Amino acid sequence: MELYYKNIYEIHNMLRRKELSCEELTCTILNRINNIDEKLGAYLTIVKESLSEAKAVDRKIGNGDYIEPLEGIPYSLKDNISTRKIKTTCGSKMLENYISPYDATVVERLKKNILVGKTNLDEFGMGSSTENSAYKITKNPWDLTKVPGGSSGGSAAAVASGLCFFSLGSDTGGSIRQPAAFCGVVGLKPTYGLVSRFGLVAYGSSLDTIGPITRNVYDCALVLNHISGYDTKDSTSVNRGKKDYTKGLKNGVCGLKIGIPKEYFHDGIDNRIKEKIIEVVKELEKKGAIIIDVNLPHTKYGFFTYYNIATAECSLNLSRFDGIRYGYCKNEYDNLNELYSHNRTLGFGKQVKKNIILGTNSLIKTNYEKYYEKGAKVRTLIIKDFKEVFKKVDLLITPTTPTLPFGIGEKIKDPIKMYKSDILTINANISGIPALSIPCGFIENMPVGVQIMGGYFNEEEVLTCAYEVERMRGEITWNTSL
Amino acid sequence: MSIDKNTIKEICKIAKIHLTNEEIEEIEKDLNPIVEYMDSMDELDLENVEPTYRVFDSINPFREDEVKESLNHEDVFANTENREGNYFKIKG
Amino acid sequence: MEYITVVGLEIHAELKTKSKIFCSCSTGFGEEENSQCCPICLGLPGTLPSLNKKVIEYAIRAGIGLNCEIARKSFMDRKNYFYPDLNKAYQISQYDKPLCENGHIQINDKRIGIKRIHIEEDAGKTIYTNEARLLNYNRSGVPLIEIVTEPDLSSSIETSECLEELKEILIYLDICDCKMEEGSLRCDVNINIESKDKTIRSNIVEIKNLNSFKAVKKAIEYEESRHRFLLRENKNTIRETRRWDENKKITVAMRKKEEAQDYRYFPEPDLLKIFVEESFIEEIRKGLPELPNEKRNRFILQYELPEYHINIMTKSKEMSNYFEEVVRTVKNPKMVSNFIISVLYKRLKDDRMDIEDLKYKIDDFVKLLELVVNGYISNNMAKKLYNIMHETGENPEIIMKEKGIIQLSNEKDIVKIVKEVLEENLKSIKDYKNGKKKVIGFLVGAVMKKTKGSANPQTVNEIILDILRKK
Repeated sequence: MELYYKNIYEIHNMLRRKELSCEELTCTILNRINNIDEKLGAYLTIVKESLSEAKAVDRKIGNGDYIEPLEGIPYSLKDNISTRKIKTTCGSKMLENYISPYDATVVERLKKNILVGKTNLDEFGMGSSTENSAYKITKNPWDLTKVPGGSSGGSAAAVASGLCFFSLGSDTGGSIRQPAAFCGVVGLKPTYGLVSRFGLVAYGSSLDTIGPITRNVYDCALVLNHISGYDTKDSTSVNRGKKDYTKGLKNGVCGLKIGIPKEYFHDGIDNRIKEKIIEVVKELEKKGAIIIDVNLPHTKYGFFTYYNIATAECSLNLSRFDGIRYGYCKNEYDNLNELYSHNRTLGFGKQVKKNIILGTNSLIKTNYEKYYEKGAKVRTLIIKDFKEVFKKVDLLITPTTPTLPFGIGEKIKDPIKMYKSDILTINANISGIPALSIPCGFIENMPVGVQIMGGYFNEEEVLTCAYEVERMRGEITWNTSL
Repeated sequence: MSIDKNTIKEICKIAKIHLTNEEIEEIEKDLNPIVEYMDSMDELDLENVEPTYRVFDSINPFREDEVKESLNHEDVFANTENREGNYFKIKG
Repeated sequence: MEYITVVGLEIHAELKTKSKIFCSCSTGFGEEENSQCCPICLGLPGTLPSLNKKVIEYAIRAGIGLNCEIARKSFMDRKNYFYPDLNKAYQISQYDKPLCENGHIQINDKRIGIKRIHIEEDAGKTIYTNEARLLNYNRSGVPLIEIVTEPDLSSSIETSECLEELKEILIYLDICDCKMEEGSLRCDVNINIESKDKTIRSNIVEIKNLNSFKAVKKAIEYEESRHRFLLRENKNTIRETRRWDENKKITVAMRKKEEAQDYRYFPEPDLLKIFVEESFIEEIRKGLPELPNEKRNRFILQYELPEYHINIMTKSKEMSNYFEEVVRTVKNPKMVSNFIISVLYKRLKDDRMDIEDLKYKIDDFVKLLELVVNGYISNNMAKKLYNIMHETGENPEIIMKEKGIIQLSNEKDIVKIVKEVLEENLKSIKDYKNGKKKVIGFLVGAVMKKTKGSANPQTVNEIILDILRKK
C-alpha cells in the first residue's frame, strides 16, 4: 500500500523505528498534494513551513526522545478553524486575506502534528456540497464529476485521496458526516461540548462541533483523544476529564442494544442505501447486538428547528463582518450604512446572504415567537425523543445520507432538496448527541455511509460499534479515480 | 404567510445587505417553499413546552479576575488598512 | 394647570474589575489607544466569551446595596445592532432575566424604586474628526451595570439628590469610580410631565449625552419648561431621544422612537445559565461595608449629633471615616463635628478640595483639637492655627513655637495676668459687686487681649469669678 494511505498507527511505528523520517513523510504528502490537488480542489492553502516542523520532529526522534502516537503525523484543517500566521478564509471572499492572531484550541492541542494545509468548504460552512466556496469546487475523489459533500468536503476529499492522514472538520447539521459518507471515510461529530469550539468561526453556535475525519475508526479515536477535553476559553465545553477512546474499540457489540428508528428509513431515501444499512444491522445482530425498532416521533420537525436556529444564530454571528477591523473592505462609501452594506454585500456569497436573511427574518420582533422561539420549543421535543429512546437502547443506526453523491451543479438549484439532504444528520446537532458516519460498502462504485448515534458522551460505544462495522466490511481499497 | 419582496427589502436593511431586484426575486423563490414549510408547523401543540437555547444549560463556569497580556499593535492592525496612528479609522 | 414632573433614570456604571468582563485584557483608563485589546474583545472570528466572576460579585453588591432581589438564575442575551464601536455587532447584555430586580433607594423620606440592575459589556470609543471617525477599543468589553429606576422622581432637585445618593452608595460598595468625566458613570434621563389628575400628559422623552450631575439637573429643568410650553399651546412632545447640548444648554432631537431599532434580542448561546448560590450572596452580604443610610442611623444613636451635623459627617465615605478616626481620640463628638463643619469643611469647600488633598496629617488635626479640649488654647486660637496648618501642612505645636504663641497651660500664669487686669480695672470690680454681672465678659476680653488670645476663655472666666468672689 502506498505510504500516504497507511493508517496512523503504522506510520507512527515507522517513524519510531526510524524506517521513515518525518521529513520524507511530509514531503510525500506535499508532493501528492502538488500532483493531484489541482484536479481535486481539496486545499485552499498549503503550509510550506510544514517541512521545517517535520525536521524538528526528526531531530527529536534522532535524540531518542519519546514521541506520542499522533506526533509528527501530517494533517489538515477545515479553513474555518483559526490558525495563527496561516490564512483562515472560511471559503469566503470576506476573509480572503484574513490571518488570525491566535490558534484555535484544537490547533494548540495538535501542536505536535504537522499541519500541511487548510481545506476547502462551503462558505462559512453553509452548504452540503462544497460548491459554495468563493474559491473553488472540490470534487469527489471516487468520481470527479460528483460532489464530495459538504460543508467539510475539502477535508473528506483530502483524507480519502491520501492528501493527509486526518483532518478536522466542523459539523453544524451534518457537515462532517455527510462528506465522510460521500467520500468513503470516517467522520465523527462528537457530543456538543466535548471538543472546544474556541477558534472555530461560528455558524450556529449552539449546534457547531469540531470533529475528526479519518480513514479508519482507530485513527478517529486517536484524534479524538487529542482534541477532546475541557477548555476554559469555551464556556459551553464540558468538564468530564480525559478519556482514552482507543481502549474500548475491540469490545465488540455483543449485548449492545441497537435501535432502528423507522423515521430514518422513509420514502425519500434511496432503496439501495436502505438495503445496505439493513445488511449492516443484520451483521451486527449476528455478532450479538440486540436490534430493537424504535420511534423518534418528532424527527420530521428537525428541519424546521434546524433552519430557524442555525440561520438565526448565523445571522448574528456573521454581523461582525463589516470590513472595519478585518475582512473585505471596499473603501467606497459615503456613510456608515453604505460602509456596512457594500462590504457585506460584496464580501458574502449568495448562500450566506440567503441564510442571513432567513435568520434575520426569524428573529425580528414580529416573527420571533412564531419562528425562532417555536424552533427552540420543537428542539425540546426532539431532545426528549432522544432521551426517551436512549433509555431503551445504547445506539441508533440509520443511513447517513438519503442519496448517493450527486453530480456537481445538479442539486444546487433546488434548495429544498439541498436542505433535505441534511435531514438524517441535523437531529444529532439539534440534540447535541454524538454521531459518526462510517462507510459500509459501495453502490455504483460510490461509497455509502452508515450513521451510528449514541447518547450524550457515549462516544466510546459509538466507536466500538463503528469498529465492528469496519471489521465486518473489511479494508477499503483506495482505488479512487486519482 | 410568505415572504414578499418588500419584506425581503426590509430584512436586508436590518441585516445591512444590499440585493439587486434579481437577487431578491431569486431569494423570494428559494425561500418561499421553506417559509411555507415552516408555517405547516402549526399542527404541533407547543403550549406547555419550554424552549431549549443551549444543549447543556448547566452552571456557567466563571473566570477569575486576572489581567493577561493583550495583543500588540502589529497584531491588532494586521488585517486592516483602516488605520491611523493607533486608531482604526473610517471615513465620515 | 399644575403639572407633575415624572423622571426615570438609566444609569451605566463601569465596574472596577481589573480585567474585562469576557476576556483578560486590562480595564485601565487612559492607556495607549487599542493597546488593551485581544481577539475576544476585538470580536475576531472564532472567539468566545468567558465570564469574569468579579463582575457577578460586584453586580450582586450593587443589588444588595440598592435593596434588590438577587436572581439565583439568570442568563445573558445578545442585543444586536450595527455600530463601528460595537465590534461583534452585538452587545452581550441581559434582557429577559436581569441579575437584580425590584429594589429601592431612600432619599429623605421617599423611596425611589429600582426596577432592575443587569450586567453587560461596554462598547469601544469613537473620536470624531472633521473627515473621519477614529476608533479605540480599549473600553470594549469593560464591565458595566445598568441601573434602571422606576419613574418615581418628580423634580430636578430630587433627581440630583437621588444621583448623589446612588453615587455615594456605589463608592461605599467600592465597585465603581463614579467619574462622570471619565465616563465611568453615565446617566440617561426619561422625562415627561402630567396633570395632577393624570388626564393630560406629555410624551416621554429620553435625554442622552449628560456629562455631569449639573447637566442632568439643567436638562430636566429645560425639558420641564419645554413640555409645559408645548402642552399650554395644545401641542405635545414627540416620543424621541434628545441630546443635551452642553454649550447651548438645550436639548436637541436625535431620533424618533418609532425609528427605534429592532434589537433582535436573543439568548446568548456561548454562555450558560448564571447560577448564583445562596451562600455566595450571603458571603457578599457579610463582606459589604456599611452603607450611607445605615451609617446615618448609627451616627444618630452613637454620637447623638444634630441632624445637620449628621448630614455633613456622612456626606461622603472619606468624611465619615475622618470624623470617626478623630473621635476615637478626641472623645467629644459634638465639638469635633462642630469644628470640622465650621473650620475644616468650610476650607475644603472654599478651596474646592477633597479630604485626601489635605496637607497635614490627621494626627496633627487630632492634636489641635486636643489642645482645645484640654483648655490649652481657645477655639479662636485653634481656628487661626488650623488655617496655618491647612496652608503649610505643619504640625500645630511647631506653628505655635514659630509664631511665639505661648501655651497658657499654667494656671499660675493666667492668675497673674488676671490680677494685672483687675488692678487696671478697679471700677469693674465695684460694678461686679453691685450686681453688674456683665463686666465679666469685658474682663475676660481684656485678659484675652493681653494673652494675644492664647489663654482658654473658659479657664479665664473661672479664674476671674474665683478671684472676684474672694474679694
